Amino acid sequence: MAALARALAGRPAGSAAFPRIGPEVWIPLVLLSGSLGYPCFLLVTSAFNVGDPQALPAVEYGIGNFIELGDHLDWIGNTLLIATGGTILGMAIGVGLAWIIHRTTVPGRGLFELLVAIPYPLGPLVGALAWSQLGAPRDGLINRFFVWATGADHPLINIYTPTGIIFVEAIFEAPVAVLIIGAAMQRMDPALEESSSVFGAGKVRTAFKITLPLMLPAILSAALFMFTSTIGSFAIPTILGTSARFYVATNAIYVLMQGYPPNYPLAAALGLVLVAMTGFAVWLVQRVLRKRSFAVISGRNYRPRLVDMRGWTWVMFAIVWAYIGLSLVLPLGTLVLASIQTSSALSFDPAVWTLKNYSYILFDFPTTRQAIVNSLILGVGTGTIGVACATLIAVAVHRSRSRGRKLLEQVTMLPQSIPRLIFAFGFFWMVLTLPVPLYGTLFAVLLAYIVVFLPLAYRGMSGVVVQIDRALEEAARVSGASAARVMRTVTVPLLRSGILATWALLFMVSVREISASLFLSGAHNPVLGPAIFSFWDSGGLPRVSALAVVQAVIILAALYAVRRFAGRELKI
Amino acid sequence: MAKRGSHGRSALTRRGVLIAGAAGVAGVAVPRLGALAQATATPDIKAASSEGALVVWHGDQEADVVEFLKIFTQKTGVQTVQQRLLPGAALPKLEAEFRTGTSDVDAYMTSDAGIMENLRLQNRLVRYVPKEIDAYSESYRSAQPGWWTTYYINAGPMMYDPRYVSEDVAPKTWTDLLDPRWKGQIGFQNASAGTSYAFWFVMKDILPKDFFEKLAAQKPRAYSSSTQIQQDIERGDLKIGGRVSVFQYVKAMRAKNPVKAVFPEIGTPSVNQVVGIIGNTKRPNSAKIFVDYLTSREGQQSWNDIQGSPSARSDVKVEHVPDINSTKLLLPVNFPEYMNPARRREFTAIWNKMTGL
Repeated sequence: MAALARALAGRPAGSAAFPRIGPEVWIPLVLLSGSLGYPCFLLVTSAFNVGDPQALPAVEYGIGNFIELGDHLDWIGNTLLIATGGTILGMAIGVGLAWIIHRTTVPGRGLFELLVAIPYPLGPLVGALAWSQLGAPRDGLINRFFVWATGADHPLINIYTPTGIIFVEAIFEAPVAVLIIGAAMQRMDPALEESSSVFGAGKVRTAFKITLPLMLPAILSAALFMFTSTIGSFAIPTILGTSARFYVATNAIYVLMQGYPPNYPLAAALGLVLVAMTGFAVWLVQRVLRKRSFAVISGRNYRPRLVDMRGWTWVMFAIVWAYIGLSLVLPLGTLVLASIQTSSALSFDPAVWTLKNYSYILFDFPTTRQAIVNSLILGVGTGTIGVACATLIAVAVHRSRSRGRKLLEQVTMLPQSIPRLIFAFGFFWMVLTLPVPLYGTLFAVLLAYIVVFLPLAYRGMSGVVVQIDRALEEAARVSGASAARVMRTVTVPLLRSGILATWALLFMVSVREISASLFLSGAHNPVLGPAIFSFWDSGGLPRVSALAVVQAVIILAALYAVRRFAGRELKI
Repeated sequence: MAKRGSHGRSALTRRGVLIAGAAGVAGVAVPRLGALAQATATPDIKAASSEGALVVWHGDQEADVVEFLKIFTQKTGVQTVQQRLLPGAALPKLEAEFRTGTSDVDAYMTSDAGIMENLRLQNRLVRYVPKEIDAYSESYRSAQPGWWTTYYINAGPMMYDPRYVSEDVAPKTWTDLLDPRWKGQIGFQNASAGTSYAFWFVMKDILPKDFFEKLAAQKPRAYSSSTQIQQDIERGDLKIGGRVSVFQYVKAMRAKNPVKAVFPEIGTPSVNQVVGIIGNTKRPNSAKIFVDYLTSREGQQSWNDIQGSPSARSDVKVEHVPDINSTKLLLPVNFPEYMNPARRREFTAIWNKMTGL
């Protein structure tokens, strides 16, 4: 604690010229390395395994798997296409929405803030399921309406295409950008923009010359998160791409690992390529941010100035509603409609509607109740422990002068770049070989969640930490406050809304998680994500839709409860 | 045992030979007798109640398994939990659990009898002969009864919906799938499905040698389950199910959906869905009670009524299920070849390429 407080105060661990590795850096480094080491070891050794594909760890090494990947460059190309397209579209949506909600006078901002955040916790699985019923070429609701309204003999959209996948990825990842960038916007000193106006710059010029550059760390954080998240995205390409013969790295890995015998080496080699792509993106972002100051919170207490868009206000209003319609109202409405059907074909005839699917999910299916309780426990645990860890790491990385800070950041971000299916398998092996009997317990799943979601938590917290001007803490110290008191009375209160937002985010992504749970959850410790995925596999659309709606209700109820608890301070 | 003679050579005595012989016989016979005793030992119902919930792994439709397990619990008092795991997820998990001695699964139900045979060869199964094993013909149980038994036959006809495909143009035999009109409109399960492997395995020697090459040119679509194929057929987003589990057809009939199944004269590829008890089971009595019930006439009627599938028992009939006795089923019979890893690798490469992976 003292080391962390020292880091907060900006004091070096060693001498100013040759700083040592302080405990605020080496302790999390050791813990993270322990959690990540074995799964990564398995990933790397498997990628170079040219002997028995099932041997773990490998005994014969070579580069044959990477050469074989040369026959599947389409997987890598498709991955880059989806990740780049999804990030560009998602960032455009996210930056636009964040600006409209947090910096303009558009009416209903409080409600919008809540509604815009919801698609992300609902998750890509729910999004893909819903859009597979909205945008299917023949039977999709949108196409049915289009054909009915226009008499056309061709569909309007086909969601089973790369464009469809990019679209669904973007609208369900955009809320992360809104959260990260919105949090930064709320803390920006409006004096900088006011100065720009005083010197004659217009609103648009000020937005591009002042606001956007100041938002750069948050924008790049969000873009990096979105890019890496989309690269590792599993549910959307699997549901919308596989049956259309469109493979990205993740659904290819899934099929390679599900086959018997599973082809771990090729899957791991593909995983390493993803790691390299993510590593490059991280390097690029760090290079852009290097040696630039982005402190936008000063000691003076200002409220961010809202921009009156006048005649454009209603255009902004319509844009936000359009997003909410496409990402929330239509998908949830479709799922509700699908959940009351007796077959996979959607019917508007109330005579064939039924509530039996809900009765089955809630009362007849014993796994569901247990999965709901377990997922709630995991959500609370991951949120609380994950935020604590991420805050400490973010402070250590951005405030400490210790050696190894960059390494700590890179190690923290590492899980984001490893396909969760492969990481989860390695983690599963690690849990099995531990001397303590963790296997089959909820705690093992919790540990995996904390590790895989740490990058998300870290990005959320570091985006806030980096914006807090050290002058505030230095002023407190000059006034005689101890390092611990500075942390308690200055830093943590400044971080409070970021902490609450990140906690809620972790809670929600934990509830909807699939890949990391696949190996670690089992008959005794079921969780919701795999339960829904299994239903998608074999349960039929009505039942999986009912389960997805139940999950959505749980998430919405949790959101409501958290907001009630946190009051108006929680901005999600 | 051996008595040293006057010339320093070891001399055999009658007593020594008898003792050695008896020891040899005992060495061979006792473990087998033990195994036989284990294989035929009646499960202790009282002991089962204190073993805790039976853990069942399967690759079937989860809702069907849950419904059956409920009935099983009502009948026997044995509590259960289940997990749906396809072979690609189940076997690595099982492998890891065995290596670390933490195995928790008791009964395993799979679509791939070859996998079960491999588990037997690796000493990872417990042999237990179900009480009603005699109701199963030799082709529906392990060569030595008790390692695994067929709990239903998964026949795989072609399927289509006459609302979207007229009957006169619908495929009648397997080579009709090569008609250009079906390009991009044929659905198969992906390579992870045991049923896909069996389809390829039995058809590669029956159909023309270039069949799968030509089928690949039709750009068939890969699905992870027959449920999804059935859904897309019903919605009109897929014209032909290239190989769909027969119970999907029965379920569609029950739901009054006008789906048609095509059983070509040349034969319909099929697999044995088999159940066995995993070695290191922590609930051996419960597992035996489960296998007994699942393979019993009552259990078979119950399971196949729920699933809508044909039983391997001739004394079990299920409404709407096509009569498998009047259908030519093509089951994998050459087991050594069926289990051969080289064949599986060959299949995976062909199937993945065919489905665009």
